[in-house]
Amino acid sequence: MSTPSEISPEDFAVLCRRLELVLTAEEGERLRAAYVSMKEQLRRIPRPETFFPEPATVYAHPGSKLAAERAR
Amino acid sequence: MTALHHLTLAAAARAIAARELSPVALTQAYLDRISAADDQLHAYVLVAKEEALAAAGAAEAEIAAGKYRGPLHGIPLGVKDIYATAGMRTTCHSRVLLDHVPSEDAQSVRRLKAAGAVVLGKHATHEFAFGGPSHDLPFPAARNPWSLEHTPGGSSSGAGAAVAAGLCAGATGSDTGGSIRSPAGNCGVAGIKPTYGLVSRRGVFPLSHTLDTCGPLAWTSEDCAHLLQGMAGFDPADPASVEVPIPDYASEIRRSARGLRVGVVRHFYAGANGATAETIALIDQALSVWRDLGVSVVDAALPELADYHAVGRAILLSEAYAVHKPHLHRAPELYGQYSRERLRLGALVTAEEYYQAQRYRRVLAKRTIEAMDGLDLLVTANSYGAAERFAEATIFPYFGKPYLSMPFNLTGQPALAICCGFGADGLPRSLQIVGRAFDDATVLRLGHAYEQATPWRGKRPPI
Repeated sequence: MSTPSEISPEDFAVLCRRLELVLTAEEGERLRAAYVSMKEQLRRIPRPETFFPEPATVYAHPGSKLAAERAR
Repeated sequence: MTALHHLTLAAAARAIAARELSPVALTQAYLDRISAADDQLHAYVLVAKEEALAAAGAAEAEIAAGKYRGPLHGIPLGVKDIYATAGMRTTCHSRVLLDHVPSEDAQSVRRLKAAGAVVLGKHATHEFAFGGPSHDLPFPAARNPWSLEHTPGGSSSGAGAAVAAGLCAGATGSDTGGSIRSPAGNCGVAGIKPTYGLVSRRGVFPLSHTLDTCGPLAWTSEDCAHLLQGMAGFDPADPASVEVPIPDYASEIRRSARGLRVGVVRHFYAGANGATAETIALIDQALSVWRDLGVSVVDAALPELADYHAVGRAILLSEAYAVHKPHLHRAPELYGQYSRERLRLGALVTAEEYYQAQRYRRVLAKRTIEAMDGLDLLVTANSYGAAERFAEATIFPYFGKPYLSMPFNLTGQPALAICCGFGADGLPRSLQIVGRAFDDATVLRLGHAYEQATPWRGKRPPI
């Protein structure tokens, strides 16, 4: 399968079928364009070059009980 | 003399406490105003006239008997239609839940009622607080009272429109990526996204569990303080709820702003592809007002806005799809086009992307707090310019300018949107005030100081 930035309508249709998304042709084309833009956007999120510098933890929101407990 | 429906919540509360104003008369004034204006605004999807008058009558009797409960007693409010209301239809503005009548109130509605508030009805929203502004839903989209061709923002669209036009004294909203602050800004009112964990979300239809925050919209920061007082409080039934002392917000905001230290996050909105020159000038004027009040104003640097936006988008889309997948696959035709197509985009975020987004969210939150070293508050733009026209709305608005509101959903910090003036087009412009977690009072205090020093709260929409 091609990379997101160049995904063909055929490959995208396969991807959508795997995800059980039932789309009209028009919806499929709009979603494909949005998919390409989204993948481009998500590439901004840096990935660590090595394994995570801390053990992979469940995300603790600053306002959550877990975060409050950790802050004690 | 100010019409009853244009009294601030605080002014109405003072008059009710002094027994100079009847809650029944006030409620009737809002019902009359809804009858006169809501066929243009569509701010309400349900008006509970009989229930509201009955609640107002009960409040009046209690107050007459010397059992005054506080500043929300007898105050008429609107409730966003994603908040469950016992015995009152709660549709999320969607065909999916068109006949849904909850048996219990959302926890924050229960708290507001316990404080004596009167529920006027249910406010329009973007479908499931996500898909809008749409014209293929069971109820019309709310319109902006400053210009009916412009959107009121969203997703708490009816709340913003109703507060601005005097169709309620205050409203409940929810904010996942800006859904309180966007309509507050577009409609020229005040709206606070409280600290994540301060207000219970029990009984409020979820969009994104790690971002969703409930809070109020009202005409002024002081009014928001009264409403937040009513809504805030620990709830063991909400996993995000935090047991913290709740200050007396209305007292706290009356303290002088002198000595507060504000960092201006100018790089979010100034420069190429940023806010309009008009918006930037209005924010600069606001900063001057604060300097004159003795507030220290310096520049602050946060990570790039686009980084917050990308992280927030991955999380919001994934979590929203997880919430809706069963219904969306079973009956997609019941959703409006905007919701249906936006939700499907969430199916295309991979688990690795979601996890990396949550990991990097912690990095962004840490850097945001570090940038506040030596500061009490941050100030930045709330929008790039005026509200968009309905004709300009798109199915996927996520890939243009990054959302100015998203950073503080990610970090969980309190963020208040207030009106900072008007453009040449007559439409409101707005800015955000951001505080440290659980320091919502200081956020409201700076907003209150600004509103007291400027004329904007004296100007209502022409409708």
